[in-house]
Amino acid sequence: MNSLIDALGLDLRILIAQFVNFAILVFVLWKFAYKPVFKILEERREKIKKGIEDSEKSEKRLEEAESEKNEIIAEARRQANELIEEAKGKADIRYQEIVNKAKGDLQVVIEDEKEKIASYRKQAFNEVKKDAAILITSALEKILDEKIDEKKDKEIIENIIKDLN
Amino acid sequence: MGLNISLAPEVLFYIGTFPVSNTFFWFIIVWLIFIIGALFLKNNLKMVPGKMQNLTEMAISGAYDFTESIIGKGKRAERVFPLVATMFFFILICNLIPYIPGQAAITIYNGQGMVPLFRSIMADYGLVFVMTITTVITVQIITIAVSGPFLYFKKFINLKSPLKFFLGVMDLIGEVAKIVSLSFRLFGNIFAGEVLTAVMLFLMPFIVPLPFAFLGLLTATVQAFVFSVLTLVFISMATEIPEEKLKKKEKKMKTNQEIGQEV
Repeated sequence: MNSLIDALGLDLRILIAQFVNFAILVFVLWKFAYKPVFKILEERREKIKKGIEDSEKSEKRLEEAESEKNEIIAEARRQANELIEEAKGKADIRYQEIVNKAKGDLQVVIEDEKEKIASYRKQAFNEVKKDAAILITSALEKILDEKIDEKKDKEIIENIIKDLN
Repeated sequence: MGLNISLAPEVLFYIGTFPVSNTFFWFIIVWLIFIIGALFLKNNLKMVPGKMQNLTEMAISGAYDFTESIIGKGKRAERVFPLVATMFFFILICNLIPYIPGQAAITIYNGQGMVPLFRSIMADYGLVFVMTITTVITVQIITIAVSGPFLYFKKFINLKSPLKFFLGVMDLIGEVAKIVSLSFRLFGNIFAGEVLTAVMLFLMPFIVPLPFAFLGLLTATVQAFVFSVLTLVFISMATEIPEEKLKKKEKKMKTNQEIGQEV
């Protein structure tokens, strides 16, 4: 046994030193290599997980915003259509109103004009009548002045008086 | 020029009466590299890893995943990982160091004769033995913790029947055999690689040693892997609750249920 130990070069002091060193190595690697590496791996994993979750969230939000946008646009379009319809209706009514009013006005104007024309006519007629009477009178006077002598005049007057009677 | 092959590591010099062998010397150097590397790593960990950090992270997390695949997830893997992973990385680097060219030629005078400055670190039976003993003691402690001291000793010393006594003795021999097989596997492979390389270099210095060097690289990696995985497997076996205890537990649960039903 002793010769075997000698042959293998075993020395208890070296063995102890090696054991202690190895134990220290295990401890140091555990404390300063494995643990921090696992920690940072875990942290990175968390970070990546969070990043993916965040991106999923934001994507979802984007989708929501998109659908909301579409909804709003549809709503706006619907409202606009409604407004247009309403405006059209109103415009129709207003158009009718205006047309009717214009028609009424026109009627009034026409009536007015008719009346005016009629009164003008009457006036003109009266004037013509007057002028004609004057004209006739003057013509008559002329004729009477020249061709009717006193005798005739007398006759006519007498005839008129006769007629009158 | 003679070929000098020594089973024991050569002593380089003495500190007081403490003999510093060439393997111990290099053990300390590799050890320092690891310690400094770990401290450097700790202070330079970044959220966005560089190439070196990426490599380290990959190695460590890969080793951890492998550990988990053998021993199961959770606390178990977490507890056993530092020991097993350190064994693996340390043995791996120790085994790969001899492939740095040129160092094998350096010899120094230690007072009695010329000794090579370098020797493959795992070709020192002492260190391998220390690591094996660490494994075996860990396994024994875990076994006692899991199955209880009474059951643990009952496994080895059982006087109920001659057959069981015989099996107990076999178990005891098995435990000792574990130490021998585990330690001599690593030591033997690395030492054999050393000797083979030395012989080949001695006989035919050019080209011929190359295939053996490649073989040696393979051995270096595989042995580091085998040693740590065997440690892992032994520990994993030790953490399994023995059948007898399971039976007792079941009985207990059954009686509890029966009591519950009666109540």
